[in-house]
Amino acid sequence: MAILPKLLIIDDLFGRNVPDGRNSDRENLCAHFLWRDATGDTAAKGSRQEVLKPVAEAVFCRAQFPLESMPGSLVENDIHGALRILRSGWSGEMRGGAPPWAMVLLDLCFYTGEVTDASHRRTPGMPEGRPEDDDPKHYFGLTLLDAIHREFPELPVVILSSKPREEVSLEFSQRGAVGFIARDDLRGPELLEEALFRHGLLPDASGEAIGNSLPVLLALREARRAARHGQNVLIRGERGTGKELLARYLNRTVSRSSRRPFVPVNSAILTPPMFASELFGIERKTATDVDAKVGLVETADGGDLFFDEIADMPAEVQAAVLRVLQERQITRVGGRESIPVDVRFISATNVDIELEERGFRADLLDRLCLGGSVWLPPLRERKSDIPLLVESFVRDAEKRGAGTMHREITADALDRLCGYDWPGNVRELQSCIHDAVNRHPDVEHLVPAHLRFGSDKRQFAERNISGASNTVPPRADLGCVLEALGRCNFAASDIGEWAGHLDHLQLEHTRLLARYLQAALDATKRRTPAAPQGQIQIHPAVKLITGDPTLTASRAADVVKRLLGPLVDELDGDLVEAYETALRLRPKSPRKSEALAGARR
Amino acid sequence: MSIADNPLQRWERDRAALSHDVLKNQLLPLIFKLSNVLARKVEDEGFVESFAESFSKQMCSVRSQIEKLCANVEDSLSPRCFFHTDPLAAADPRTMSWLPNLVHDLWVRASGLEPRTAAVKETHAKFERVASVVLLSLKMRSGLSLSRVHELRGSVAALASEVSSMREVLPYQLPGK
Repeated sequence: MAILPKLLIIDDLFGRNVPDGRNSDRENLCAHFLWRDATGDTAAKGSRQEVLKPVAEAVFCRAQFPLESMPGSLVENDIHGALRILRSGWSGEMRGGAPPWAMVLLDLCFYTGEVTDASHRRTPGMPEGRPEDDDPKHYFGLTLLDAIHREFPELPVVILSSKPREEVSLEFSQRGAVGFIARDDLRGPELLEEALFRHGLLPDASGEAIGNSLPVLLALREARRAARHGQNVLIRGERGTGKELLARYLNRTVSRSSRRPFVPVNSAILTPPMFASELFGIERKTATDVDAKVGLVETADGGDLFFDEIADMPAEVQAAVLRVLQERQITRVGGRESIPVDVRFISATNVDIELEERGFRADLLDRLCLGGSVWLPPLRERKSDIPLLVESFVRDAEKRGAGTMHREITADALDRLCGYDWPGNVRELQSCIHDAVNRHPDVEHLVPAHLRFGSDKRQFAERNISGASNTVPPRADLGCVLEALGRCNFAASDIGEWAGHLDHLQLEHTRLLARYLQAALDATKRRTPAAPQGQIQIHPAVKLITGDPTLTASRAADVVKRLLGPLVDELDGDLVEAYETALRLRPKSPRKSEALAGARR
Repeated sequence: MSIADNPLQRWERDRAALSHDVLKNQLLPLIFKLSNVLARKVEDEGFVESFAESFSKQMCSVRSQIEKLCANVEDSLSPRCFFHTDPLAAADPRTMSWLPNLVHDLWVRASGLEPRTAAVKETHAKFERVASVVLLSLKMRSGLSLSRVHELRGSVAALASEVSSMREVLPYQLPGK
């Protein structure tokens, strides 16, 4: 069953709870827009209406207290209450695996003050209102919009109001709303559908591109926007992130009524001798008994041709593809007639294709990303999707293996899976899960012992860095070092343990910085034909580690002298050369030099 | 002067309440829902039967509010009110016997109030005619064919359009302000 987009509607009239259980104003709005009321309050539960094919789930929020008011009640605006509800449907921890709000619909004018008998008779629970409530300069909706945009900049907000648009057209744009739908506009549902398509945070309704995390939803949104204008699109992302899946999503998104052709091609297989016949086809030759063959471009006519690993495309093929992009026609091998084609090219790459050493034609790249680039996040940036992906892969593996039992995934197994960095991304995760299911077909539970990860990679989130270990410790990266330093806690109760170790601590700290400098010297070496091994440059190296682009060469030499001076007896390699260079540049100590300079003045 | 004492603010509040609270927030959504119930996109047992009663009540309320607004617009918005407060209230009695009325007459002619009020009444009359057709059609639902349902939807949509048009005719920027 497709997941419905979840909307948050912040409105004083529709968000209020009513004593007798039916908010007919809210029901009418839901009936108009075809929403299912998912608020869960007595107004939602008391409704007798049923929307047969809802297009969204709507949660209503009054943004005022009290939620339910009677004659005599004093109604006031409640920005904190509104933000609490927003957070509950946005934060990954609070919403579980469910997708976040797809969009917020926000009213402008919120009536406050006392609920009188007269106002209650007109509209149950509504106050009389104060004059400033109706002042466009003081609309509470605009205050809310500010707060929402500040805390949730990625969450799209559309104004849904019966106030005139021209009163607030500048303000709502400045404060981050993406659109305005007048409540009395007959086209309201169509306008909202368009706004959701263009701005909403929507998971893939087909379930093929799995993910409810914000990075994935943002990528899907970019894909929809790119799909709308029909231009060529470049998809970027590390290996195994699902670039072909996203290309298929783009293909499905353009035409929802009829299927457009989708032809995937691995660019690496288009070798110079064969690419022409593969891409453009072969004309039938009765004399030589050559059969006709329709090429990939012609097969994709009216649809999309997907070039995977576009950076691997040979130069000759690039030239031919460029011609097709320019002329929008092909000629079959052995043919004479040009055949017009209407094809969108979707390309994918996991490298920095713009770099000159890649040898990819800039003019072709420009045309391939006329419609823009869409970035897919690596799995480590969307770990909240791992449970969903694992569930899908387990079921898929079970279906493929005859006689394989249905299994539940234990919390420990999920923790282990979420703790790994997944350099191979979703494809690696899929491989790991299929491997676990295939090797253990007769179990009811997937446990950590069933999981096998990359052979030399054991990058779990929690590590034990122990100096007492007798084995060679794994290569520590900067993240590990900073994490270990952050865990050090010098409590007064431990004084017996760390007293008298200050010199040692300082020395180890200096050695660590020396290794940091060593890495920077290596990274900034100048390689020339005369010196292919590279020559160290202390000025760029020190600028790199300090992050200070204004640092002078003499200051850099001072840094090197101060850093390496205490270690002079144990230096080797580049560090020796760096120290000697620094001494040549600054033969005297910095303090002595400054004192001398002062004396001369 | 509180809003209760200020005729201009009272009139504007009443106009905004009719436009915003009644027409857009209550009447239009009710009509939109009827359209979707008739199109079988929404189920709500008894809604169509209760619609006629609730809509008729709303029509009466709208009628009385329109009449009140049109009747009060001239006196409520007239610049004659400035002569009740200082400094103009301090003018000598002979001047006060003719000046406020002259100012009022000049304003009435310049603001176009009369054609504007006539347009509102005409739009309201059209709204009532269309609404009567809808209510009559709903009463005869037992003989309804699919085309009749579409015709009903069309007439309901026309009614919604009339309500929107009525809002546009009502002066939002007060004339002469």
